[in-house]
Amino acid sequence: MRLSDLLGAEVRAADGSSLGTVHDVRLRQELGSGLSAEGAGSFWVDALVVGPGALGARLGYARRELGGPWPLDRLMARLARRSVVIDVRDVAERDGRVIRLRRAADRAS
Amino acid sequence: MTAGSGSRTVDAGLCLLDRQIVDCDGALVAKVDDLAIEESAAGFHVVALLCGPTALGPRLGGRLGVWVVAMARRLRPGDDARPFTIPLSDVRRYGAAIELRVRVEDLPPLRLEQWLEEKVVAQIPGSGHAPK
Repeated sequence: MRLSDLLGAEVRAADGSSLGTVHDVRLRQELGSGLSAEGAGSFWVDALVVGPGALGARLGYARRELGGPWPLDRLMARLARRSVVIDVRDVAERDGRVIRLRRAADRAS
Repeated sequence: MTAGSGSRTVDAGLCLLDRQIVDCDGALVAKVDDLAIEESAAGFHVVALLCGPTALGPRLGGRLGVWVVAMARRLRPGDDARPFTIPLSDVRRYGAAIELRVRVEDLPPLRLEQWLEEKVVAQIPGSGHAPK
């Protein structure tokens, strides 16, 4: 599988409702001992960043720690707020460009 | 990026895609066009960086993506559609650029660039004197 197979894929909750598309894939980097934050290490798929609009998430505003010039910061944060982070363990199956979750839409976050 | 004890989280599209890859001497290698992901008992993990038009095309999608892949296949020797692959074990450091442990000469050549070098650049008078 490639990362591009996930990016842009539609995500549906267990009840069939669409949550949007995958804007980004959150990876967990396991750092070995003695490595800096930028050091090499294995990357594990941790979560999918999913939402109806991509602009805020693409610019990194889905991450709370990212700041930016006001009022751009507020506008993009507002756009990115509609994104939800889906734990990869909640993914039931991937069928082509559609990802189905185990949970209903109101519990998927 | 957020760091925890022994781990940190990164958004792949934001922090890895389109990053410049440099070798251990700082020479430019390629840019990250896609990531290869494999499933194991512990979950999904990234195994390699994918580069070149056959990695970029599917990511672009649509007609443009199909055209990029088709052109790359026509211009490369043989019928091998695999993208240029750098195993994650060859990566030394992730930062503003992705730094490898190896030299660019030790990596398999980018096939499209190899074809262009042989068929186009080599035909230009005086090109034999150009530094690599």
